[in-house]
Amino acid sequence: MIQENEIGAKTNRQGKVEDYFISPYSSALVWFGVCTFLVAVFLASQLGSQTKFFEGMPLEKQPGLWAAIGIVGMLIFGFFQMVQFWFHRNGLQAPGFVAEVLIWARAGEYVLWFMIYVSLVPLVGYLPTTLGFLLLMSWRLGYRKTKYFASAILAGVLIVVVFKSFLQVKIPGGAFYEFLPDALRSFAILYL
Amino acid sequence: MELLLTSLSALARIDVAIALLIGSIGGVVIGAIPGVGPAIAIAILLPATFAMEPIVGLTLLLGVYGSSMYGGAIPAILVNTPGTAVNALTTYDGFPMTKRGEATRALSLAFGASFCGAIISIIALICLSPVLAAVAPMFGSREIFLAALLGMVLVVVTHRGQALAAGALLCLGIFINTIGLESIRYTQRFTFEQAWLASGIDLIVVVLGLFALSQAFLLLVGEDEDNKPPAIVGRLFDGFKEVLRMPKIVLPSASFGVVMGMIPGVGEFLAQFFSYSLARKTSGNGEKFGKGAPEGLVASEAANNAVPAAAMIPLLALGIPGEALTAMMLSVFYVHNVIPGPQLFANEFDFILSLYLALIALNVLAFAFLLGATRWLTHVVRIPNRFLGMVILVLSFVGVYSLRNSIIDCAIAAAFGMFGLMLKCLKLPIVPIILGMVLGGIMEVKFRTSMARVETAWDFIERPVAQVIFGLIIIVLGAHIFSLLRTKPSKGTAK
Repeated sequence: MIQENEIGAKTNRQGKVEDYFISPYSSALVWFGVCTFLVAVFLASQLGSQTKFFEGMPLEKQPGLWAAIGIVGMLIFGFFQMVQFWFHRNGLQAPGFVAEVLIWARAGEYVLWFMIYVSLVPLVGYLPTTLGFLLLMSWRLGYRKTKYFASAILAGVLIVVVFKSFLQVKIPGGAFYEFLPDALRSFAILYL
Repeated sequence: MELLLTSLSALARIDVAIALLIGSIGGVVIGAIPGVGPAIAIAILLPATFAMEPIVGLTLLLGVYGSSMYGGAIPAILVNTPGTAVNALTTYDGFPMTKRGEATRALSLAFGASFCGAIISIIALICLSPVLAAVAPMFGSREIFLAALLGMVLVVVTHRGQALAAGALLCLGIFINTIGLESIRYTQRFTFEQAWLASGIDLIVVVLGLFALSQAFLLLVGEDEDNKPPAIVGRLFDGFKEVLRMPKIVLPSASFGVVMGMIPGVGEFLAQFFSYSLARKTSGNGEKFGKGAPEGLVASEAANNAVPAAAMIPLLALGIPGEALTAMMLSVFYVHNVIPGPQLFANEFDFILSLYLALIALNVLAFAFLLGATRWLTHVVRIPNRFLGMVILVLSFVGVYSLRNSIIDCAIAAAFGMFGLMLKCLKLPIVPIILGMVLGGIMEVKFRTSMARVETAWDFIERPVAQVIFGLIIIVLGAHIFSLLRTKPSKGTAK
């Protein structure tokens, strides 16, 4: 089945449509499969304590039924995937585990950027934080030309105007806005 | 006639018209930007639509959904980069045509085929509506449970080569949906005594994490590509006339789109795959497929654009989403306390008709916009990937934070973003998780209500519709097992 990550990925092949259905195994995939199977085992071990099964209650009304279905399903599919990995152990393909994990670790930096941005919005305000975030991030990504900074400012202003001013999505005004002059404060809290 | 006028008057409202315009044009632009795609756009827009009336919100989202594939053909044809996932097959013949200097013809064929596929699909659905209105009331709790189960089975078996992973991820989705306080005995399920887990994990938070944030992270850790699309010279309308001269390609392709769109869990890619394969056999030009055959381009674009309208059928008639985009739309219904299902189809048909008319209008708008604006749109292909990733991060924040103003929701979304990134890097499917969450929730409720009237296992499938769906489940599973058994000996023979 085609993936969402085919979007934006340059394709360099000619020919077989069937290629889209073939999924080569990477060692990273095996590690990922093993880890998710272990998570399923852990969840299964918690079934008794983290959900309730009442005596004498019909099966369909048991609170833990669907959690159990999900976990048992993960265990069954996960187990057969382990078996499948074992039979294909000689056909593992690059990229390997370390290469994949390095990519994931690099993405961790942007998770931090995102969480810092999220934490600052209620304090500094939506518009200033968004503009600051986009400008700093443009710098971090290595963009140095004025056109990129101008585009970042334009994108930031557009996003705030469209979502907060126009569509009135629920984003509270920043605590910093309390220090603004009266006339500007209510406008900033409502629209910026 | 009165019904038609009522539906038209609903569409003539200024807020609906604006939503239609923004949705259809926005969808084309979003589709044309490689790296965004309709799932991300819909996930981000979703919370904003909660404040709108259902028809306005759905029109906006439908606009994005239905028109993004038009835009997705532009980078697929010009720079060999599919703008949306379902435009991947378009690159097979679109880009070779560009390389031999026929970019304008390829684009105009793609737009013409997309328009024809979409209109044929909508007309087919309007004609089918009386049948659907008659059949929908035959679906009770048991039938809806079985239809959801069929959807799950199809989601797993259509991921060929990845069925086990898809199954595990589907079950993960079922599990995630159960986290929090359950509504029968008010007991906690897998909250680990954490207060922030008591209200459960919101579908939209998961969707935004898995689709939008993961894509943002993926773009940010990648490289910027230097896409230089060729200039567009000539008339873009001529391809439409050329498409009309290919009814043997367009009609079967659109039909595949309609049928595949209606089946939960199947979707655009299989429709495109089957129609492309059929066109290769029937066009008499099969040897040129993959090397710039106009018929191949027309087949794939007609099929994928026929799907969105058809995908609304299981959603509206049964309340069962067939894929991630319609699963997101389902939440718009729920927020407004409009429960899609047999009653909606039977009693509020004017609403359904309004949506179909909106689909026709959005296709006309998208097609007209492309005829005039494609030359300008080719520039959006040049937006650097990492810059785009940065903007998606900011947009994702709007989607997550505006739900409950919760930083914890943002952290959960970021965690799912990382998980989505891992899945994408490993080429594992994301959609089963979303469908597991949505269909799992539906099945839990319907199973409970069904069992109140069931004494033996046979009672569950005593009604004809239930028997048909149960038969389909057995056939699908049987066919899948048969294909697995048949594949293995042939490999051995090859050795």
